[in-house]
Amino acid sequence: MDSHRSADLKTRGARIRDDLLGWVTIALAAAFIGFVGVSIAALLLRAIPATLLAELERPVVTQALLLSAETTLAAAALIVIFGTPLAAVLTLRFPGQSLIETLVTLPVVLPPVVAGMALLLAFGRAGLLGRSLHAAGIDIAFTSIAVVLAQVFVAAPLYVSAAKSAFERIDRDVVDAAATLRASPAYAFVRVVLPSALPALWAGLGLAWARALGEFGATITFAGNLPGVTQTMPLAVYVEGQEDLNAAIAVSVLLLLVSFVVLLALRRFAGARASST
Amino acid sequence: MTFALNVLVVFAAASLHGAFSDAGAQFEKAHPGVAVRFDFDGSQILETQLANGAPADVFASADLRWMHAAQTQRLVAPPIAFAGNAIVAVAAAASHDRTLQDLARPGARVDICADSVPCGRYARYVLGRVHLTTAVMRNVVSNELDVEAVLTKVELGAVEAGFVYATDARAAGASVRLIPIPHWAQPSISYPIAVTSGSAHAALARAFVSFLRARAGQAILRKYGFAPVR
Repeated sequence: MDSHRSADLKTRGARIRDDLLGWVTIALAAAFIGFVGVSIAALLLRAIPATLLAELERPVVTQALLLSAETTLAAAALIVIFGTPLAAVLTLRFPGQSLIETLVTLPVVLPPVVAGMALLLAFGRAGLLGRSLHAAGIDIAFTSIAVVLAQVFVAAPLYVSAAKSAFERIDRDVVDAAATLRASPAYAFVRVVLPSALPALWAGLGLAWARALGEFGATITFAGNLPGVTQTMPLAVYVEGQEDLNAAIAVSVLLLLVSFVVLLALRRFAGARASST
Repeated sequence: MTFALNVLVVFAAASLHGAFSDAGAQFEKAHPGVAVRFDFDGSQILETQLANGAPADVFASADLRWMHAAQTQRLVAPPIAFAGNAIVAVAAAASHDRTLQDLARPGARVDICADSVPCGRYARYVLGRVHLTTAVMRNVVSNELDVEAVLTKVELGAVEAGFVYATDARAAGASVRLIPIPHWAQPSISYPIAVTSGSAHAALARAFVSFLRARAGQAILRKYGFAPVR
């Protein structure tokens, strides 16, 4: 009876501890949501809906919005085209593997202005490659292409590392089974590995796209700040803010709404894919 | 024992970087127990930060516009001029451009500060005076947020030329080549300085302003190419 009671007490103690842990978890999570939420709410509360619509009629805003859409789409495409094979290669074991992986992740750590400087020193008119390119009549710096390259440079690592860990999570047995059925490694990758990694790839791409959309420092350093050519939304927000803070807030809210809708859609899409496979 | 170190925070236009760093060191030497900390940025950025409660003791702007903006919001005490400057064009060392007209040729890449930045407004004034606004603005590749960004891109050879202050060109030395601007096309460039309303060290802040306007301070500014106050 007594032993029964103590066991009961024990489970009760454990339950209280679990409850406490649960509440602490919720409190910490709520504090973080509040931290992000309050800042976003402060921005939304300062924005006046009427100004928001008026901002959408200003060429400097529409140009920046369009340019941001075009360049981030191009950047996302390049990131997938080059990043997916890279992630696949990085799952293999070969000499220098960790060295290469560290190298390609480096742009995430670099202060964006330094990343822009690196790109300028490489592709600028007097740069390492830029000099020869210029002699051949090709100038990359200060063009819309430079905007895309800056975005790819800083955002790609987010996709690559997401893709790499997705590929690594794929069950080796399934891939081996495909091999025993005489599927070539390339066929197995495309038909077996890729489909099951797809939700994680979408999530990684969403993160990389968001980083590209918010890109500021590398862009202004490498591509410049020219309305219609290289002035993306983040640059327009900053430049507008120097003259008129309310206009800048309106533009920021637009950027926020667009990002929110796209990220939410991507999440839903990735989720739908995950449950269907 | 200097535990109670008095820290004087000075918000200064990017073009004052060299001269003020030097002046700050001299001021510290003359005032034991005082540390001068600088935030160098575009004047327009500093004004926005002041308006949002940034804890500065002194504000030095590269033009009257942003000082007036700070004044009308009662962020600063009445300002006083302490230095003058001139606007110049600088070309990359390897560039073949010699005159302002050369910057209008097709294919020349020109860098300039944004319109909201003092150096950008002055540069546009010069272009208007020499009737090259359309031709040169067509070659502009960026609108920088402070003058140091323009100079960096010219020094790197990423652009052919850019508009900076005479003091920046002087500091850059042989890494850039000067493209002269006629005297009659020059805007009047006067740097105002003021003690902020929220300063916790107002007396010390006033001493720093006086130091800059006195002989020792003016000598430092002259060394960096600034014109004396008129």
